[in-house]
Amino acid sequence: MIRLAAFAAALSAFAASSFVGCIDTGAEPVSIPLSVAGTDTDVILARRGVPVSLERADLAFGPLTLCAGFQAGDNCDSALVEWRDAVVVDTLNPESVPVGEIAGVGGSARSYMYDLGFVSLLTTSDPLALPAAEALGGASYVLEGVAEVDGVRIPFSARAVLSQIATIERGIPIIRSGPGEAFSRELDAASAPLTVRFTPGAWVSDIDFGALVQSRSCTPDVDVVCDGQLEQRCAADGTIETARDCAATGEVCQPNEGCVERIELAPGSQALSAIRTALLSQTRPAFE
Amino acid sequence: MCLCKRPKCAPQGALKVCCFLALAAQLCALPSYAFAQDERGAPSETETETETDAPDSEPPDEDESENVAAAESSDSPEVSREAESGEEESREDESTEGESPPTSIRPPKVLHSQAPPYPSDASGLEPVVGLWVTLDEAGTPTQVSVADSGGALFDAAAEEAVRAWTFSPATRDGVPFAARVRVDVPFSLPSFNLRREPANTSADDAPNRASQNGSNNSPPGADPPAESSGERADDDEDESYGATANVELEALRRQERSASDFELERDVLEAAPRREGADLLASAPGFYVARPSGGAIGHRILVRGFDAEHGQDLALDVGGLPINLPSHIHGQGYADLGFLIPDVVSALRVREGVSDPSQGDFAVAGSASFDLGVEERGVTLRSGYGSFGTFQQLGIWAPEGAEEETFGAVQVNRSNGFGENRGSLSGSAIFQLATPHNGGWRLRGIGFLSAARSDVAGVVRADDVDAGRVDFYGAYPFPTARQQNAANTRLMAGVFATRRYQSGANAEFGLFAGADLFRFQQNFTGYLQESRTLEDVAGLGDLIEQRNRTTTVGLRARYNSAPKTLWPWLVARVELGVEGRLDWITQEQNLLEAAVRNQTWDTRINADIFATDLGLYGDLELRIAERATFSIGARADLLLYEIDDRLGNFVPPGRPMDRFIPGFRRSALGAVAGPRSSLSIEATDWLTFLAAYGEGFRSPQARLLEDGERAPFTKVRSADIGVRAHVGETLVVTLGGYWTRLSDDVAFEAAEGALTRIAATRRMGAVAHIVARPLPWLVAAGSLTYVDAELLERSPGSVEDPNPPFEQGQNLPYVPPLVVRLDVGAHGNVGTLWGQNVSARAGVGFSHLSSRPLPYGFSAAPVNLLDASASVRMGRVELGLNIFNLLGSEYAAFELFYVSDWTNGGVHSRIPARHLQAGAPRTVMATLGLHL
Repeated sequence: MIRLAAFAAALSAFAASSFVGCIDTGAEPVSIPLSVAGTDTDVILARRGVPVSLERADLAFGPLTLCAGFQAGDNCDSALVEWRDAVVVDTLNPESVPVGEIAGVGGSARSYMYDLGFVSLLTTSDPLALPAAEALGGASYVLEGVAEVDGVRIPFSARAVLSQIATIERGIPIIRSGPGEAFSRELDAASAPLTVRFTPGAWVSDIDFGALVQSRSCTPDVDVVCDGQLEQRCAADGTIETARDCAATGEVCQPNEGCVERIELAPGSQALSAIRTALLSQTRPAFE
Repeated sequence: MCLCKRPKCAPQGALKVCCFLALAAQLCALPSYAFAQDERGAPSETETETETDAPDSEPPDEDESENVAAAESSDSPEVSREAESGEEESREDESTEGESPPTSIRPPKVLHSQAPPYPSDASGLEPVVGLWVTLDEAGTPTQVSVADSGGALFDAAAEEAVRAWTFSPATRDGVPFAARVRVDVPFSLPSFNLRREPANTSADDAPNRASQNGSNNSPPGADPPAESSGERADDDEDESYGATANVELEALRRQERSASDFELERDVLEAAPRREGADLLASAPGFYVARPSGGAIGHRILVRGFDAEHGQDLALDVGGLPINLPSHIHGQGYADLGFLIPDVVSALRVREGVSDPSQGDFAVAGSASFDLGVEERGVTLRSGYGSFGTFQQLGIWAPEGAEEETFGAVQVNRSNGFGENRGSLSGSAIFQLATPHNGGWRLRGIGFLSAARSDVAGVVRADDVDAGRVDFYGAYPFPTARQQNAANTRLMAGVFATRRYQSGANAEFGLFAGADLFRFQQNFTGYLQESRTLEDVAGLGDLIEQRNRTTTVGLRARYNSAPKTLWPWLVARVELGVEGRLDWITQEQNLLEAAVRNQTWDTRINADIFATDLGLYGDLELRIAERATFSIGARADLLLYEIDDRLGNFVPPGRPMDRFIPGFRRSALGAVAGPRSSLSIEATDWLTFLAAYGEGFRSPQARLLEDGERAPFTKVRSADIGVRAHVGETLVVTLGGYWTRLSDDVAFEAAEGALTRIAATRRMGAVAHIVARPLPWLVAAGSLTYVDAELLERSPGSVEDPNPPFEQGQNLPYVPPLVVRLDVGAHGNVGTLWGQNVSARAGVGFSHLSSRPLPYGFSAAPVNLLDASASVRMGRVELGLNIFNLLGSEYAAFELFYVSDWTNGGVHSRIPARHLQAGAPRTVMATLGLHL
């Protein structure tokens, strides 16, 4: 009897140990190479057909999260894969640049969400600036380019912080795929590397660059006005104190500033609003 | 098969003599005997004779007999008294049972016995030889065979001696017939001066003395106590050799129904050291018990492929008191055995799977019942000191002369804990009072009161441990982590009455009541929660407070009919039972801000629940040709809930608010029924084939029910098949296979600290269990359980994951495919010192969990835990040393995958991560005991 029991026990142990090695609990961890890329951008037609050439379009991108549900955000407390870093993407460079790996568990991703260098936290009211954003001078993006308004060359630059500010959405990335967006990606060990490709031209296409060209004369309440590319410095009585042509020195006249190398798109301006809108809700990168 | 308790020999000091000269003549199934079940469900003899053997006892009560004696040495006058009494029994049966009078069957009795000589060539052994003795109509032994060998020399000596004995024949209605009895012949070393069994040994005293096996301090030469775990040791008028009854009371109901039913007796339970009562479960096949959240939170229990959490899949009762709490906020069926003092547990009966109609709510993976009793009478005081500032104080009072079940025990435990934030203090008191088995209703009252509070280290992320951000045994440094703690208190009491009728029928009735408070504040997820109540309040730490208060009253009643002989080869009996309980439950769940004196920053649950569970069951048992027993029964439960969910329609701030008074009020009623059946076939006297099938259930979490919903029960279908072999009690081997299927299962949801429903699951596996008592002083028990646990279908989708991953054959995480357990214990006298008996005890318990699959392809390392103990007792003083986790394994007692944020200001991950709670490291405890 003892021998029988011992034999049975040994047999069971052998059988059991044989099975232990081939246990499958469903989803498996995945780690997929992640690259970022831009688009070779030529001339973009902005509002009123203003041609725009981008010279720099750096974007602080990340973190990135892919979710199983059709809607990210509140419904993605538990995600499939994520990349918790952020990098500065030269969105004018069409070459894929590896930035790391997006890792998590396998499954069908149906939505995504990401931030632009600033992460909203539940524990603090101010968003956390990641090094990529700091590398851009504390901004989510930096754009530089030249628009030609009525034949006048207008160099410009834009930078801004784009982060989650809605109190009701604290802790949630600022950019999420929408319910109507057909995003789908199977994530498994055999998944091809993921490339996120940005198209910066779309970000400036809704800017009214014509508004950057001011045609105004001195008045008592201003110091500097632009009349086209003519800089006028105003006296206290509203008369013109001095005037010079910015174009003659290769500069551009910026309202309230005078001749500058580039017009800095002002906070609250239509231009920055247009870029914000484009980045946050109108244009989406391609997930290749 | 006759399964009577092995005579227990207790060496007496240096003489090493048997403490009693028990001739265990166990009467076994005879072709025409009215049968009854012994404690394992096998047929044994028989009630009709018993009350006739008490010339010095009170006359039996009008229609019952508690006493079952199977063999006595007697003289002629006693035989005549029995005859008179037997006639009286028949009349009483008619009057009280209202049934046809049962056949009056009288088993054989020993009339003359002579002790066998100790074999001259043998030395140092004191075996007990079990013999089958066939008697003819005259009571003359015609055939003797060895049932339990004690060695060739002893077997031969015993056979020769027994052939010379004389017996009275078995009779049916006064007519002798041939029969077979089992006789256990103990041998003592020849230095012992054989003494006659004392006359007039009281039936009630006998078990008490006999139970002091191994610890009887009566001086050498004193009258040895009779061995009778049952009822009676009668006069021995024989001139040469004491013969004492060794038949236990028949069990009130059949216990052994499947190969997955196990009874762990005291010697096995005492073999290895135990920190606390719940640890006794570890000795049951397929069990793993851990208490990762500290001393005030219930144990987590794994049962052959089920993560029973804190009891959701395992129905637990202690002394008849149901421990599981329905609709508990921390998990359905929450059961905390923290009050249980291991020293007062006399037996553990584990029924894995569902096969018995008495198994009710939460008996999904099975059920476990703790019997309480204290073997050593008197007062025991024990203090223990050990690692991590651990202090234990135990006091047990077991009044002399009272039943083994009568005792009172108090225990206090204090510990600084084996890591940060793990200190605890707890105390419990248990009492039980049982009236003797001397007629009428037998009453047993039981109660316990416990209170505990502990700090809780909580979970730590494995990646944080790997990176050195937090210690494996540590806790996160934030207030929301350091404020984790738990507290509970519980009071339960019950009165249970049993009655045995002469006819073989028996009845049981019990009432119980209890009150429970549970409070737990733990942070599983770090900083992920936002307030739903207060606008723009978030990230204050996910310190979840759970409160649950339950008040319970309940009853159970059962009637087990007398055996009815339908045909000579078919005997039937019927059992009907009812169980009911009412529970008033109040529960709350809040989020607390630890940094500001635990002020509440969100409220999640606030509900009152009134729950009713009424269960009815019936069981028809058919005994076929003395070799097969078939049971077919069913159980139905009706559950009613009334729910006042005061936050059921809570609207978060910032959203439009309709005109309503907060709260949902609902009621729901559901019914569930299922069959229970079992078959046992005794192929030989030592080999039994067992098969069982049953359907059980788990009640729903009431707070989640919709109004009028038919209480969606979790249904379990369970089947077992196996074989059990006995070589007396020297060796019991069980081999079995099992299969269970759940209609839906649950998984832990960390964000709410509660359980959520997943899809159907299936477990299938095999178990091998061995109990060996090769020597009187040695016991070894081992088990090996294999399980393949699978998710059968895709779990229900959610907004977050509308299509959860699923593959055919997908295994359930957290379930160890292989669980191995080994208990080895040795005890005995080692000599005398300064005129005092010196006894020693040593034991080890070893648990092995194979590598457990975790979600996402991870796996947990195998767990190997070795506990060891040793003690020496001299007279009234006992010194002991217990070492838990002797190997110093660093292991996770509990692992889970979910999303958390312990960065406290960093970019947190949304990927489910591995979290763990450390198991206790090596712990050394020294104990000093006084036995007064």
